[in-house]
Amino acid sequence: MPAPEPSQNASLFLCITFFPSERLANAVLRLVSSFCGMVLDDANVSSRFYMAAHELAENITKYSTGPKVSLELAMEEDESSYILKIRARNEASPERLREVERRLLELKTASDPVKHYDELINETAMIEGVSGLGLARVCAEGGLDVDYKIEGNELTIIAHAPVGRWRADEQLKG
Amino acid sequence: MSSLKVESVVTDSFGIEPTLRDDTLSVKLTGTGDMAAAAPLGSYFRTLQAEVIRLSVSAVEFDVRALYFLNSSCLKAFISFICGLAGQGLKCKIQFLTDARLGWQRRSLTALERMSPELVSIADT
Repeated sequence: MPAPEPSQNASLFLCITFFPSERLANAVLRLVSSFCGMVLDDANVSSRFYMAAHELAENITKYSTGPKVSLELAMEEDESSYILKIRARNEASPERLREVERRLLELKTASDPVKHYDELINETAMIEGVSGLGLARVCAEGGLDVDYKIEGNELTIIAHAPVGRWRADEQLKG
Repeated sequence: MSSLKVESVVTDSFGIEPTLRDDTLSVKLTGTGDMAAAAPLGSYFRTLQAEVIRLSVSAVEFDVRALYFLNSSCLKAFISFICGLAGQGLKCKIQFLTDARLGWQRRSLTALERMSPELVSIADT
């Protein structure tokens, strides 16, 4: 897996590469929680991004077949706004890649993410083993858009949403 | 009514504490509902469902005010629990007590309310 680099319009960039263990993922998520709380000055906005990062970090950890995974947060400047992007990367089995691509395509073509989430909840309510709800939750509950890229056996999922206000670097000092 | 036969669960980062008051079974959840919590929570809910049936309680109250996060696997455990009760034909009400200052709690649990509006309610405190 190549080392991620920040795009040129990234005002803030945090990338953590780790081996896919539950304990490490939890440690990484504590850092992400602090990062979101520090950068975003609205607790509701911060908790939406934290939820998305949590779901993605758990996904890449659970389904990784490679020796390392990465989670990246980047505040990127668009023409007139800032967008916070969460990128999650792992290597996964062909079966897992097919399954996640199917779910992501359904999610991206759903006209109403909340309705899609509710339908998934009803469909999977009594199926044991996996929740299958994480990605739909990121869109429906978090209000984030989700994109993805599959290159060989590497999967990248990007969850992103505009951020109205964030604490610029001079406010973070001290 | 018999005494409660389901015990508390305490791990490093997650806790479940049940109490029985009259015909309401109260369950206080604390800590973080993450990957490590999902399996114990699912297993706990299977035992809890049997207790709800045995004790014929009319309501289960989940106090999540001291909960820091719920992942989708933990939410799924709630979904299975609620659907399991409904599948048994029970009219047991499910109430969530949330901390109004923690907006994520209501936001996360609203999906359960939409799923079963006749059974599930959320009270901000």
